[in-house]
Amino acid sequence: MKQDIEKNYLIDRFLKGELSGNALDEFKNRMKVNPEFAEEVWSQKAIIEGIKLARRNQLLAVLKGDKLPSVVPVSISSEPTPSPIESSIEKTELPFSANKLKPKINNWYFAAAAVLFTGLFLYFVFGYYLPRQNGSYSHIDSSSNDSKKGNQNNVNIDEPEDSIDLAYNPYKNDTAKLKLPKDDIATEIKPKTPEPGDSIKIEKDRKKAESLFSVSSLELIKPEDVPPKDPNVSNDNTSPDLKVGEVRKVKSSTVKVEYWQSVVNFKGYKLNGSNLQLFDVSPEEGVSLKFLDKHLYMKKNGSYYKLNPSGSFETYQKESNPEIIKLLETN
Amino acid sequence: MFGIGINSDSEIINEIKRGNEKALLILYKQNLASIKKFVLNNSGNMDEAQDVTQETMIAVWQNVAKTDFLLHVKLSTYVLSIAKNQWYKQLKKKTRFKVVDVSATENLKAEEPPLIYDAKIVSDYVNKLDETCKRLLMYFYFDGLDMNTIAEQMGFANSDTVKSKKYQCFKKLESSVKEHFGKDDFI
Repeated sequence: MKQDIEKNYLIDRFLKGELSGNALDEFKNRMKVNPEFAEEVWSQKAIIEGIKLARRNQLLAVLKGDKLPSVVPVSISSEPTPSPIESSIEKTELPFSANKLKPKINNWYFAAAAVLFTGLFLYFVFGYYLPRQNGSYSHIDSSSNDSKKGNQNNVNIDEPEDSIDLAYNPYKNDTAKLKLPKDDIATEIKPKTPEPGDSIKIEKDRKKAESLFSVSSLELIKPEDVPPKDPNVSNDNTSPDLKVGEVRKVKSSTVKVEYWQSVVNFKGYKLNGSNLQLFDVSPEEGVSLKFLDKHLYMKKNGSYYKLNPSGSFETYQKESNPEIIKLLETN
Repeated sequence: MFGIGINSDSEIINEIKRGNEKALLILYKQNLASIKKFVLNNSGNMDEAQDVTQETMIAVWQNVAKTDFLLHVKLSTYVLSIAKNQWYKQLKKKTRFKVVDVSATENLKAEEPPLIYDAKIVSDYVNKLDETCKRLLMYFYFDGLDMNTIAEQMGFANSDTVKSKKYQCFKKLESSVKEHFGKDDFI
């Protein structure tokens, strides 16, 4: 049996052209002297050609899609380890065949990619682009609730908000969109037409304190305020002695003063009715207020400043009129 | 092209060496377009292009499976060079030039008689063998896998076991063929 196996294997090697030298000569010689051996050789060759033809047709059938490829070779005693390539080509499209009806793994990838892309596109349009088109400049991060408020173009400074929208100089333009902070939480603001990755991080103005001032009002005595003197009437101590050019206290009024710290180091004020916002002034500085002839004056560090009730942001203007200063000082 | 992280040249070659027919399919799909383009640009038609592609795949399959196969270029370049040779052979046949098969073994040319069995009939009997025998004989005679590789792929203990089993399968096939024809028919 073993000899037969070796002989069969030797013929295989001869037919494959693997014999050379003495082995080849010896084989040929054996074929010459032994016709049965020669017949065995040519018989084996014919059978081998049949095996090759069968295998060739099998592979062609695989290529044509007439036959499913056998992924894992037949195993006698154990399963060979599947290779990475096997699992990934299970559903590969077979050319020229009905196997095209099988699921195509490529299509699944494309479908998944399409769904992902569509999702990203919709997220961009509805979650980012359209809100930008419809809303205000400000796109507040999740820590702020103001993003729900939409566009608020004219925000009263007396109603501090959680965010600032600064496209312009807010202190010079009342119609600028201004939202003053309730606290000093940093806010991220993105411009309406943002560059990729561009964002502005702005710190909000901060209100440091507020207090109510009882402000005395002084009024210049005008000639018509002085009653004509009756020479028959003696001086009455109960009636004031009014002199033109001097001042008199007429009443006291209340002014609400807020002390603010500007992030842009604005130094000025805003006076709107009885509400006064002071920037770059701290409560410890001990400012005082007086109305003189319906004009509000602030005394700070020994200097007087006339506050204009325009309702907009103004810078401090030191009062230089010595007469007014004298009147304010002496009353 | 066919999935994620597969079908590098080395992976395909390794799988072909293992006898994995799906690797051949991948190779086929990867190179079909370029071979078709070449054939169509060189006086061929679609049917010829498809035939050349298939023949090329068979040739590549056999070459790659050889133990001494070494790839020095990209696999697609190698495949296309095989395809070009295949197409030139067909062109020569079409123009009635003589085809010289330089790959034939020198030691058989002088004494080799015509085949004593019809290969088609033998192939029919091959297909009637059990799967193990069929695979084993195909791996050895067509794919050119060595005994050790066959042992590994088919789960045999060692190459000696493969050699013994191959002999048994061969004899089984041979007896079927001889029984079919009768001894006088094929001598």
